[in-house]
Amino acid sequence: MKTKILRSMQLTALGALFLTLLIFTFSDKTESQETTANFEIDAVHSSVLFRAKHMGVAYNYGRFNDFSGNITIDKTDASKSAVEFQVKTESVDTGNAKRDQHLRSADFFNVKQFPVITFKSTKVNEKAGQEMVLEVTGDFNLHGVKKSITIDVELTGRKESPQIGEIIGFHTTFPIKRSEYGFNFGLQAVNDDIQITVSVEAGKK
Amino acid sequence: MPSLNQLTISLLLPALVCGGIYACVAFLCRRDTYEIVLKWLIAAAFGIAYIIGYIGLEGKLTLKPIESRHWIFYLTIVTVGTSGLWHKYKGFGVMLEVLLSILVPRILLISYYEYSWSTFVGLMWWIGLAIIIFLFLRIVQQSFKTLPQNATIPFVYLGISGGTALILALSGSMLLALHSAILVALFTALWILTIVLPRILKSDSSLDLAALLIGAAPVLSILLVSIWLNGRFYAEVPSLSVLLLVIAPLLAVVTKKKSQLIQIGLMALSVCIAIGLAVLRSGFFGDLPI
Repeated sequence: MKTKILRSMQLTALGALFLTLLIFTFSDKTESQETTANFEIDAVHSSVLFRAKHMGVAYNYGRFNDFSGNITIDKTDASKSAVEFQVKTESVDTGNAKRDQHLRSADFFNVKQFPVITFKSTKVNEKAGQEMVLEVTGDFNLHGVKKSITIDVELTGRKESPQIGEIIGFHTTFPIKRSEYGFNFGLQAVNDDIQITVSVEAGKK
Repeated sequence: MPSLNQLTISLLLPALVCGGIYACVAFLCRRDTYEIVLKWLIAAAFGIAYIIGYIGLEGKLTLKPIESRHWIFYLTIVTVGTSGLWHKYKGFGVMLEVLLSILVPRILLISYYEYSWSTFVGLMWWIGLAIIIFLFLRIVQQSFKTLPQNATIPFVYLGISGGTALILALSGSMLLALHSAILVALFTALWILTIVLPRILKSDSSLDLAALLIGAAPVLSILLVSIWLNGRFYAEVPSLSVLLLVIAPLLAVVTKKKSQLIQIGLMALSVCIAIGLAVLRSGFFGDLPI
């Protein structure tokens, strides 16, 4: 009888231990899932702009209207964050149909040969001494030329509400030399230095 | 737009190089040099001059082709390198024509195979284009034989290259238009020299200087095909314009028994209609704001 009670107590203890371990494992997993969040870029509330100087005199601005991307944010460790971004070159828009046609041609974007511009992060760090700024290094693939670039990305805002869920905003401006990406045509008319601005709003998936 | 320096390097310098080598060939022609060597020299003159123009336009030599037109550099080297054998051994020439007809559409339209066409559609385009290119390579060589053996040959191809340049400029690609303008510069030099040189040298050689121009036929036909394919698939050149440019040399072949005026007139008509179509498509000389 005594042995039976002892055996029953041992089984109960083992069961409790197993249950405790299960709870710990489960709760640990839930916590880890919450530190990483995936966001999808909302193209309606985002912009991809570029500016180029014409004849060395005035800045002309253009934009791309068709783009998409995903952002992964790790709340505890920024280095585990990542971003992927794609822009359809066909959607270039400078407000002048003839110029856009020329920009889509083989002289510039060559959209039939290079339909997308892509950026894929390889390293993300918090920028030293600057709050809300991330230093993002990644592969920038433009016009068939892939280069590793590092850009400063500012976290412009974050909001959570039951109606819209969680949204987050980022902004970056960085320069490129178009000749380094094989855009050699018309360097006399359109300067080599192009400034790209990306402002995105992304919603939690 | 390209600078004056760029235009000098990409148009004037190639014309001088091509003209210079052609003048040397004319001199060698008087000494009854081996005909195949002379034909190869003509091909080399044309190819080297085009490459100089190519580098002038592109700004640098891109050894790893990124854009479709970067392949033109390698295709020029291949055709110049093999053009001697092309003329010496007919079987080898045909074999090379078949090989290039298969290779050219596949490498120049690689992005269409990657992004746009399904396997079936891609295969249909490949077969169709390979047949057209092969026929065109044969037609260009025949046209060099059937056209009057004088300044008419460079004059006719000056017209076709000029038409191509104009169509490309109207179709939104100044860069491709300038590639064609290199051919215009080369044919202008050859045209002038074909008129002037026989009078200066008073050659008593059995070899006719203009007849040697056929040496450039393989290089020229591959260059035209490459520029047209780029224009049709990467710029907005109307398909019918390309087709009319392709059949222009054919008209010289089919009208070989007619008078020179009819031969040239029909070719000119074909090129003019091709330009007209591009003008209509472009919205009538709309200026490019860049």
